[in-house]
Amino acid sequence: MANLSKSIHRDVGAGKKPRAFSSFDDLLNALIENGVVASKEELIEKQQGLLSALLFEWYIQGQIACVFAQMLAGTRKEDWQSIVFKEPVEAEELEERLVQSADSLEALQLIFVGDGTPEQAVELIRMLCQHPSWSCHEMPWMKNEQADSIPVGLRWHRPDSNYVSWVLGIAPFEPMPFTRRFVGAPFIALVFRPSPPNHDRAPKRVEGGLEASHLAHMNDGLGSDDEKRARTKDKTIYHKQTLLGDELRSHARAMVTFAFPAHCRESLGSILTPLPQD
Amino acid sequence: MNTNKSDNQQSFVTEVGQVKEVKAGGMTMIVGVPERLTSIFGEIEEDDCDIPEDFQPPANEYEGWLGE
Repeated sequence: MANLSKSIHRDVGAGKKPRAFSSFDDLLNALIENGVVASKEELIEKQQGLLSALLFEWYIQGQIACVFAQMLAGTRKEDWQSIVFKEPVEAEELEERLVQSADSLEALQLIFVGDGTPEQAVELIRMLCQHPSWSCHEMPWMKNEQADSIPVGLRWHRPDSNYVSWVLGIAPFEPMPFTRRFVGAPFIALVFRPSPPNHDRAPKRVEGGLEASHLAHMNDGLGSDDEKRARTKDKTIYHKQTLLGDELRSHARAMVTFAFPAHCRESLGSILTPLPQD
Repeated sequence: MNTNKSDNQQSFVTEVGQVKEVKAGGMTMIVGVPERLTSIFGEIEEDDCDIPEDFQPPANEYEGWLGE
C-alpha cells in the first residue's frame, strides 16, 4: 500500500489534534503510485469509473462528517449506485432511467466531470431543470445567520409521486461547507435518494405539500442495533459541529445542495424558483 | 477497473464491482458500484472518537446528511 497523503488539515478545537483528509490529488497520486493510472488525464478520459471509487474513498475518510455515510461507503452495496457522465446531460434520457431505477435504490450519486467551479454547477442545474421533474430554489437562512452567498436547494420530484428528493451537492469550490468540499475534485457530484422516504428512519418533513425523501432515509445497515445507531448519530453530530467550526450552518443542511458565491446570482437568474409553500 | 462497453439496458442498477458503459440517446454514462481498492487505500478503521463529556450539541441545528 502506498503512503496515502492527507494534505487537508482541519482544526477541531483547542487542545485537540487537527484532523487530516485527502484531497482529490492525494487520492489520485495513490492511484498513480500503484500503477492504476498514469495521469489525471488518463483517469478523466479513460477510467472515469474510478472517479466513483475516489468519491466513496473521500466519504470513508470522514470529511463528510456523517459516520453513517462513512460506514455505508465502506460496505457499499448495489443499492447505492454511481453514474459518471462523460458528456453533457440529456435531461429526458436521464429522467427515463431515473424513474425506472428509483425503487431499487437507497441512494444514487451522479458525477459530472468538469472544472468543478460554481459556473459548472450553475450550468448543470440549468440543464437538469429543463425537465419538469427538477426544480431549484433559494433556501432560507437559519435563524441568526445571513451572508451574501446563495444557499440553493435542488429537487427531483418523481412524476406522479407524493415525495420530492432533496439533493446533496459535493463540489470543490467555496463557499461550499467543509463537509461537502472535496478539494481539487475535477467534478461536481449530486447525491440523493430517488426512492420514497422511510419515516421509520428519519422524521417526516414536508415541502410544498410533498414529503421530503433524503439520505437520512437510507437503510443504515444496523438492523436492530439501536445502541450503535444512537452512538453513530451522536458521533455524526459531534463531527459535523467540530469540522464546520465557524462556517455557516445554513450551507451544510440536507435541504441545501450548493452554497454559491454571490457573483452567481445573475447567472442563476430565472433557474431559481420560489420555494413551494406547504 | 474493467468497464463493459455499450450496455444499453434501461436500469442503472448493477452489482458491486460491475462497472459498465451505458448509452442513452446521445449520452454516454459509466454506471456501477466500484469495488473498494483496499490494497491501495488500506483497511477501513472504525470511527473510535470519544465525544467529550462537555460537548453540547447545538439545539435544533442539526441538519446534516441525516437531514433532521
